[in-house]
Amino acid sequence: MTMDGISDATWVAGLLALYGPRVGGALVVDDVADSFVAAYQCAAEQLRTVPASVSLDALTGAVDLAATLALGKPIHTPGLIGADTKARFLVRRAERLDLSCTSIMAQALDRNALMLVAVIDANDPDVALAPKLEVRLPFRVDGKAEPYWTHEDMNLARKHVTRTEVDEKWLRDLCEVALSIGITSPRTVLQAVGAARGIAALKGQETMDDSTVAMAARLVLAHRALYAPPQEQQPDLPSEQQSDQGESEPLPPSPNNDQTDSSTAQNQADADVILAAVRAALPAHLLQMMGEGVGKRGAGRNVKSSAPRKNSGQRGRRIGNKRAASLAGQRLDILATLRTAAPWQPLRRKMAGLNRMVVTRDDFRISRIKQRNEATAIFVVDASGSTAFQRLAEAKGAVETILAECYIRRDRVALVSFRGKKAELLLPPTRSLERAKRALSALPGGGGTPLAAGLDEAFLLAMNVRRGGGNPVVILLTDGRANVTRDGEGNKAKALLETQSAAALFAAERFDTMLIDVSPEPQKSARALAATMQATYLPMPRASATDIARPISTALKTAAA
Amino acid sequence: MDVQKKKPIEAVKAMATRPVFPFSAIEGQHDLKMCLVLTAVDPLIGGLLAMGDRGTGKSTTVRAFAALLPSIKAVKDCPYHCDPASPQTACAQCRSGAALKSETISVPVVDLPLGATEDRVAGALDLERALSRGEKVFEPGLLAKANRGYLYIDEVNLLEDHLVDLLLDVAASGENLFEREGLSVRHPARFVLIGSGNPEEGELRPQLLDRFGLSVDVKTPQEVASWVEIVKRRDAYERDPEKFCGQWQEEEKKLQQRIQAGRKRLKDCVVPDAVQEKAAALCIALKTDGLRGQLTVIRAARALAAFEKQSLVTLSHVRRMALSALRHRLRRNPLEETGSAVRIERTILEVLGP
Repeated sequence: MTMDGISDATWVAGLLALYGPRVGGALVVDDVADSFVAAYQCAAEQLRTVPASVSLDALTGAVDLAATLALGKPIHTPGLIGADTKARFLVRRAERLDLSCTSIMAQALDRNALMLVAVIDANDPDVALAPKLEVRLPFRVDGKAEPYWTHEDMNLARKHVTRTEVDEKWLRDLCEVALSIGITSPRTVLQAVGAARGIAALKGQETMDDSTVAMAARLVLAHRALYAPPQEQQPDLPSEQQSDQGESEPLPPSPNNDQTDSSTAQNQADADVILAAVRAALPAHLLQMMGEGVGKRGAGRNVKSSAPRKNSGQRGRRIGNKRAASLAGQRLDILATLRTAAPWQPLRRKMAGLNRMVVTRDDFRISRIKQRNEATAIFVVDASGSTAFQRLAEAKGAVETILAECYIRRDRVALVSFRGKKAELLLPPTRSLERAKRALSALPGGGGTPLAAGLDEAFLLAMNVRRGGGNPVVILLTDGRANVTRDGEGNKAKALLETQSAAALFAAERFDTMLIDVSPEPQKSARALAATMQATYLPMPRASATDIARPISTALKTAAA
Repeated sequence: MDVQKKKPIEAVKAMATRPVFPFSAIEGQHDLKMCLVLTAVDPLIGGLLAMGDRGTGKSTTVRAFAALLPSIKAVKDCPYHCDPASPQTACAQCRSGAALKSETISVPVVDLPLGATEDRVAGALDLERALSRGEKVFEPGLLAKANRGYLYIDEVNLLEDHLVDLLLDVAASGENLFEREGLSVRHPARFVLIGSGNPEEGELRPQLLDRFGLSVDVKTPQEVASWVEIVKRRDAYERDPEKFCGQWQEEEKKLQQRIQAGRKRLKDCVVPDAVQEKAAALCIALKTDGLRGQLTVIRAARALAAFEKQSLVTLSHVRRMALSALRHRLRRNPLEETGSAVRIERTILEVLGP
């Protein structure tokens, strides 16, 4: 067989075709989604394309109103995820799935009732699949797949798959490797075991060899690695190249090479084989991080799920009703509907010749719902040298005070800081005090003032918050004296120009902005900046933390109203 | 006493498709399992909050626990499955005095999905009947379904505020009061609240926190050996659920019987005054708000004693349950560095001695 030349993506397509809903599914990057779906569908049942805007009713089933009215008896539409059906979904832009839908899908995945191929946009680093779904999908596909497998292959492999035993030795190795690269849940190892069994079956084997296990580890464990495994021998130079070019070309069968290399030291080598396979497929950023010696939890891909908080009018407090243009996903105000229909009943009964309530589409009334807007306080803290010494501690104090208040009012907080050469999002919008606490205490100070970069970062974040249906309030703590450009150059004049253009954006978008001048004496530069941003200017030369906090909390209250 | 009686048809069907992973086969998670068991021994403990990272097996454990619960007697066809033996807690229909038929059902365990609408949770006017026949009938929601059982909320910390308000009302009164859409319905809704979530994603409102009797910090073990065991069992289960569950049936039955024995023993369990006083001293030293903390410590300690076949509650029982019962009740400075667990353990040592 010429199986060595098959790309990882093709393997994954084969495994999905083999297992169906028993395997969970895969996360697929949208550039290669079409090739992947094609590769899958030439060996298995069609996938059902489900839009990311799918409603909960459509998934779980509901009463079909139109049909119910027409027939005068309840008509139910079955949900896409039934109690005893096995569903196979293809969801494009899966990061947009509604919170309630992801919950239902996660449950279905746990019951082995759903196979999900979730396609996400790889070009936007800010989007990610809801973590709840992400952890339940064993594979991540970012290379091209070929239509390699046939229905025949699957039928053959299915005979093997239940018989293949997994040695305890392999299990132990997989667990060891998983723990060494920071994988947090045994579920991942379980997924790798399933993959290994499937790969062996697809190869037509009933026993497992190290190349099979290594392959499974590469497919399932590697993309979840939080840090690179400890290096033992020579630094693995080729691995960086591989993960760079591995996008479209099939990976060379590195496990096999390793196998021949290490065949002399049989026993000890097994775990190494898996490790080598994992290392070869590690994402590039991890190798970088290893160089810096960091292994932050969830670093790099710990971005928020971008499930837009739809103003769907389904949740919140009712404040009245209105005529429904369409009923899609809306909550019917039944009483109002019946009341509207009531006066027409004698006439309609006569006309329809029916002896029951006749309700037509025109009578539909839906509830009007008031949703509480969520305020998100975005703190942009100037942690540069000029501020650091005098005011950083006070700035921190102010943020802490607001935090405690946001906690009570359920607002969210985000933290951006800039210093030295660049700006950094220290804390994506969160309600978690634990994380805010940590981010704040780790906030370092010193260096130049890349004000423009800080403003850019804050602007992006504010836009994201607004897109998600929230109300951003930007609170900028600085002295307004920019001296580092966006590129990290120490050029005062250019830095000033850039800062002004960045600040103008805030005015254009009419963000609620506040500038707190943290210099010892009120600065002209800060006042000018506030004017450009159309921000409220608050000089607080000798203010204490609580003094800074007071005006901000007033602004947040109005934003949340 | 025979435990496994007939189950309703749906339950049997669901079992037939794939049995749930057995509770006793869950490796590790000792605290979580113990606390769950205790809520079954004494439902008055008032629920359990399990916080921990993703993939630590919180949901698996809770769902497995659901399957373990012994069955109960309920009024036939009652949407709230009222207890035929206790009319004072029954719904209006069952109290009306008509002859009641009873049936044996498994304890209801209801999943409250995140993002559920208020209609689904609290109930609503029955849409089909209102529209097709013009009748005004109440369609019970999830709260009705959970009566006398468990209400499980995964990611409880992400629950929307208006649902939290609703839950708080119902949990406090044991009743769901529905006044909307021209309907006025009042029905019993007594359930044990189980919540789970990841603390990194958000906090719980203090009012809701206080409603949970016990709380557990769930962590995945970090030793290779236990991982191997977890994966091995889970893999065996995935490959042949029936066979795997068969192997664990004996264990499950034993645990089920122990829970029932514990329930019976509970009312004979004595809490000596000295123990009460020590528990009170502990709560005062920790400055917990209100009396619910102390009440829960005592209840949990008593349930633990009953489960362990003892009829006298000792300081050791209090010591073992104090952390779970009090951890989430400390008034805390939101930015305090040390976790409350450390503080409690230190205080336990000071007040109760080693």
